[in-house]
Amino acid sequence: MFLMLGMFFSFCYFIDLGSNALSIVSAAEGDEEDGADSEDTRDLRFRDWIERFRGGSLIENMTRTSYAISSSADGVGCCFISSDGQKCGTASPDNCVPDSPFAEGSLCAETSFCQKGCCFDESLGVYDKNSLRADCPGDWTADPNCNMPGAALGCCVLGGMSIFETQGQCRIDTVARALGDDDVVDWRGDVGEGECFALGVSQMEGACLLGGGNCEFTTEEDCFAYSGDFREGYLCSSSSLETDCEMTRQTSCRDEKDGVYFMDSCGNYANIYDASRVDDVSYWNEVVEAEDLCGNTDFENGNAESETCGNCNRFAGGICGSADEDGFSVDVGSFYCRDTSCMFDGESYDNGESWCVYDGAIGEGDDVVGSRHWKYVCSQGVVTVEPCADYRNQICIQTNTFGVDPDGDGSSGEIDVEFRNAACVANNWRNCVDLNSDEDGMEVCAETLNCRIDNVNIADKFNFDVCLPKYPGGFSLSDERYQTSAERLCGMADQKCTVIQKPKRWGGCEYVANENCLHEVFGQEMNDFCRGLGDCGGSVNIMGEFSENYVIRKDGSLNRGMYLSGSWIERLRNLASPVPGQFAEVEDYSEYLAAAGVFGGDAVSAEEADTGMADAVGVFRYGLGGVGMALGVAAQGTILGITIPGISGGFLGAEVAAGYSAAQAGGTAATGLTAECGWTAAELQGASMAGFAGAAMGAGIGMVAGGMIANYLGLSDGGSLLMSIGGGMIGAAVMIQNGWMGASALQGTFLMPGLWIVGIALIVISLFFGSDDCPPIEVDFECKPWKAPVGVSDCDACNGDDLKPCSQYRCESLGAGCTLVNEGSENEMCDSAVDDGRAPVLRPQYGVIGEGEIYDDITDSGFGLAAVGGGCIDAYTPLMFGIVTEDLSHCKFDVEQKDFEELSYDLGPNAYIRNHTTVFSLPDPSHGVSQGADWTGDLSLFVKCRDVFGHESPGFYEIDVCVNEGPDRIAPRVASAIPANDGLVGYDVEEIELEIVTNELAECRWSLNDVSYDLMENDMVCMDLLGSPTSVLGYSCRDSLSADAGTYYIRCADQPWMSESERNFNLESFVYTIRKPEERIAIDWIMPDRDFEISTDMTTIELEVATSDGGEFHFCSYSFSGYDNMIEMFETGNDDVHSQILNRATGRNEIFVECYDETGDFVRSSAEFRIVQDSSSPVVARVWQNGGRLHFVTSKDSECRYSNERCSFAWEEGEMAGSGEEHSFGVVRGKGYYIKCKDDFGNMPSGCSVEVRVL
Amino acid sequence: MKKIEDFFGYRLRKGSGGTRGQVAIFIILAIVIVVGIILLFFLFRDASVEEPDDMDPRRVVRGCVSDLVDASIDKMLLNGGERLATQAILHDGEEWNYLCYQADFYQGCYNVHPMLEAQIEYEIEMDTSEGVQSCFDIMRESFEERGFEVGGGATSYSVDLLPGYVDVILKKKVEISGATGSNSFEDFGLEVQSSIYDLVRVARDVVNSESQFCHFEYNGYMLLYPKYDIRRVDYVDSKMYRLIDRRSGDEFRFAVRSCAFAPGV
Repeated sequence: MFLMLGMFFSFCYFIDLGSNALSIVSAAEGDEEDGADSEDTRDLRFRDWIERFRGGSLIENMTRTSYAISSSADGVGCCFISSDGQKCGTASPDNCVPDSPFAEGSLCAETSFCQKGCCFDESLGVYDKNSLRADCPGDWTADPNCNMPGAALGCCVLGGMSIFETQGQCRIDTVARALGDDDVVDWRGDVGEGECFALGVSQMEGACLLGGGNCEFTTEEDCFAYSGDFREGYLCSSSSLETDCEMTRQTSCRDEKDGVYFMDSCGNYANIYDASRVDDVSYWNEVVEAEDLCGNTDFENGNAESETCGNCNRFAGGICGSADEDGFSVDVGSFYCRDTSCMFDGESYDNGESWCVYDGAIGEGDDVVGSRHWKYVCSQGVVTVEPCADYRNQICIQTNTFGVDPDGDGSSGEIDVEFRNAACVANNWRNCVDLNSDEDGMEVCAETLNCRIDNVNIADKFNFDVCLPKYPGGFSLSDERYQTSAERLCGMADQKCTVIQKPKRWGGCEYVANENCLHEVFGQEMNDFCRGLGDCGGSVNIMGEFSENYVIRKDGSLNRGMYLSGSWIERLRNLASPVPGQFAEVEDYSEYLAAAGVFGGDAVSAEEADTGMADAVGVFRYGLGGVGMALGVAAQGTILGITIPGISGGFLGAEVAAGYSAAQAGGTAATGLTAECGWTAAELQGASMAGFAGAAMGAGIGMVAGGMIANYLGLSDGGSLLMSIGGGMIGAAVMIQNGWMGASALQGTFLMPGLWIVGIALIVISLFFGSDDCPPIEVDFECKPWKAPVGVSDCDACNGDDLKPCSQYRCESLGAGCTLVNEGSENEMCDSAVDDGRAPVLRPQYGVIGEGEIYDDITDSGFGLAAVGGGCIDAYTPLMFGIVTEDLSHCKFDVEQKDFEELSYDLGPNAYIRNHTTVFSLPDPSHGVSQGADWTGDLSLFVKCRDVFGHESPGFYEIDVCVNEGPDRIAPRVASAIPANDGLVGYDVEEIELEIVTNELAECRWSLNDVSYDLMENDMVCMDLLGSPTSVLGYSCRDSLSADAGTYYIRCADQPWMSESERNFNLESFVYTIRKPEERIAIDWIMPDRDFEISTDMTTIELEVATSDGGEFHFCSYSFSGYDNMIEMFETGNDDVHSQILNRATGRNEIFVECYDETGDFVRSSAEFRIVQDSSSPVVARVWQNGGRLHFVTSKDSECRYSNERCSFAWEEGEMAGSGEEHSFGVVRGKGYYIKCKDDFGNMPSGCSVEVRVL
Repeated sequence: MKKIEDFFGYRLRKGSGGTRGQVAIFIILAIVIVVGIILLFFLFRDASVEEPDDMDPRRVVRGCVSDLVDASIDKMLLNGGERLATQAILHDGEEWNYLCYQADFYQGCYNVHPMLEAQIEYEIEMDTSEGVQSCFDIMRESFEERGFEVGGGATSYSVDLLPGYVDVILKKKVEISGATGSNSFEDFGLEVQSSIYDLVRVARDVVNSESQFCHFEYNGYMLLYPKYDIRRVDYVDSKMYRLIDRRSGDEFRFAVRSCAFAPGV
């Protein structure tokens, strides 16, 4: 059953590698939108651009990508015979031999020339499954599972033994073993394999007297064939039979039997060896019943290693073996019950028991790099290993059967394990990762085999759920094709956390959100997420050697202070030690098996299906809720952003009261101020109202002035407050002192000196509370594919353990210099590469550079990048270049000269390779300068490489590049559109959210008419900031468009910060088209849809589904258990008829089908049918003779043949006797006729249908 | 040796001097006579056995063909049913012929050698047909050297794998003429004991299971059929199977590549 799962999983792995698989919202996103002022761009450097675009591959079509069945590149197909002699594999046309059939873009299973079928020879009873017609020298039928009557297995009884085989094979065995003539083929189709085994054991044997004192101990059938006199239950050595056979002290093993048997002097088997009865005449007389045999109560060991008893039991632990060969001392004879149990790691295992062994901790993402799951088996006394598929493509699961508690109350203490059973099953890790791209992925994740939901909970606004595999898969550490995909996969954990802070009232900054992202927990949690995806991030190999494959940047700069601590790394090292008693749990496979139709899976009613639908909708809603929550988080961030200026808005309100332009916010402050003034007046009872009013006026003016000064000086909230109050006091004092506005009434009061002293003091004190600039802090985590630690010291650890054989993956994980050598030879081993002691030498890599660029000024220490024809490179154009190293090396670069470990960016993948390539685009320096950034047109990249032995290239390899600096005369370019241009949208979709991405920061508009930018009516929302594009392709603008309108015209203008006259506008529109299907996708029919008969208990059916309307590409899935666990059909997506070969048992079947198109629209339907078995052979109901013809009637339509020689004639050699229900043929009087009839299904009796002698 | 000396020493000490000499002579004579009889027996037996066999061309041919077929069966066992492996994987210094192969990932394998018995029969015939002819030539030369005339007709040669043995069907009309007359022989068929048929049948079970389920539960199979020792070695993304008949020690080897997994995505 598990194996079926393996197959099942294999076909349905999909992943969205191209898209942003995780929708993680950082608290800062809203802030970025609000903070669109020049402050944020001031510190931008070229580094930021490299960061945004580092190694980013420019993929325009972000579509769902299926896992390649072949490792070959695109543009391949099914090749019948490839140039290396392989049949029916995926290959490119160049690798397919000339004239060999080739189907481009097709899987071989979909082609006619590579169709699997059954190759058979009915007369021999041979049926070979999954054969090609071209390879078959016999008959061939298009049923890969050979569900044919002749292929049915039954029990062939051959004397004292039995074999579970086809009837044809039984016939051959019967003849070959000379067991009677071939008319006596004892084949029993209604006996199962286990029963068959018992049937052979239970065949009654006895002495066959052959005359002249000769005797053979055999079955009655055999004795009959020898024409002997059979004496059931007697031994040939029986004195009563008076044969020449006598008792001996010899023993022997017996085919198909477990025990050790005495031998008589004629070479016949006697009773089971029992040393105490070797001279007991009665023991040599008759066959002794089982209950009277020695050791019949040893259920624990099956008499293993007994010196005196040969009553072995292979299932209990003993089987007959040579004592001489094993050096075992036995009382009589030279055979004994060999012990079939095993000892491993201090534990005893019974024969046939299997268990799991691991290289370290497993599950919860803890499997270490290079590790493998191992299934060990105790096989007849020897421990053998059955490795689960490498790269952890299979996991080892184990179940233990426990003994029964005799008391049933647990009082007997620990119950011993009775039997352990392990299995290697497919690891569903790819599916888990893929679920992150589904809207309801988390919901499904919880229910999906081998998957777990990991809550990355780092900070208040930086927490999210991801679906990760329990047992992350491994990646090739040397194959560049898989390294590239590994880079994308690990990149799912590339996340940015924005820490929001605000100025404190009395100076300094305080964190408002995501403070924890600045602490070690950020690295710990993100690294766990990263390594949970596969061989990514900071993780250890099977030797516990740690390799750091992640980067944490704070505001764009490496921040090693935030890296994993030593204690945390030590914790990771401990994962390389197996956890005693730990094994992979057996998960609930029933859903999957039911979906695959392997067993169970009660048919789901329509009502239940509706419920499932409702659930799906609920999940969808939940998904939207999640998005809503995320939006809420963003909104909260926005609110925080508003709150901070709101405080100063209060002070500005005082300005408004003083005659500045009105604003709503000012009202609040003015009200407050009024209240404060009211309190002052109450203190000044007895003073004239005029004097009070003048002082108040002065205080107000002073406060406003103080606030303005505080603002100018950049004081904190507290400092501003002190400055304002101080200013107010000084203002009041000035008014009083000068007697303005009637304030002279207060002259001479105690207020005068107090106001001056306190006011001045407050102003002075306020100067100590300056305000701090508290911009958001961006913390980035970059997750890279794991690469082995430098060195070769551990290579040998891969060798020498027969129970853990080395592999390329295992070897290469032990050290960057470890390689598997002498592959395939008897000297294959993990060896260290030869260290030539030289540092890597760097040279420019030709062939990768873009068409518009050239390498320039090439020296030993670097080169320049220039436009073809010389000069600088245009801004915002993808710039691709590379270097080569003679030895395998890992290369990094930065815009400053630093130590290798400190260099920020990988040149190429995070792996040891020879060709190192990268691509990014550079901005127009003038754009940065105009925004206050320190950008120049000249840039130097400093490259360093380190080889597998840790040798670093000396000095820095410098790559100089210059970018054309303004004035910018090039209009922005639309790099991509989502949904894709000219794509289909769902039938019911009314509105789409269009996102276009431009290569440079721009503002865009759209219109239904192709008019100039100025005349376009609709502004798109373009919130990106210069230097902070949200897409890997550039800057994003969005808007909602009606799905009904066909064509939209979009134009953009660059440099939003410039005046209209200085900007560049698109002179041609980007034409965006939306298409809608005329009708929603529909299922036209499903086949089979009605009952049908077969002659076998299993049959191969082809499930076919026809779809129509909807989008251009239709995909269908099926299930036998409802719509929850759908399995994608094998042939789907290319045509409107989708098919799947299924191997089904007889009985009722309900197949649930779901089809969807590229718009996401889906439709469901089901078909119900019954498979009825008709395995009865035609029966001859009547026979009569009329003249020279024999007439007979059969019970059903059939074809009949006859032979005059024997009953079991070969069908093709028989003479035709007619077909249908009534048959007749000419006969000769006195002759015998053996007639055999076969129905349409091939049902035919093993012997004759009827034997007739014509009189 | 020491015991014999002791024995003689004992006798010598017990008897008188003259008696001791006579006894020694008798003993020596007895030994000589016994050894002589034994030698004569063997010589006589060889002569008496060889003489008629030498005159039976069937024995000469059968012995020769039996060796050929035996050697050919060994090749088949080693190479998964072929004289030379055609599609194989190198493992442990040896080529393991694929009986079931799928070049792509995640897919069940194709049975690349259906009707394996028939193929092996054909392979053995092709492998030995020249040798069989040589056997007849050797027989002819042998008789001609002894003055006989040997005439022969067309050769009909085939092999048939059967449970427990390989049936060699060899027919050729051979007429041997000498001074005393002539004798005709036609049936040179023989049976070569081998468990290749049974092992091929197990191989079919393995391949059918691997192609359908990507797995063969060989441990369970061994529990039911302990006469077979089945070993599996996983190498790269293939499985090497060794099917061993415990009684005869015959071993059939082959490889399978089914449902291989990609090292990543």
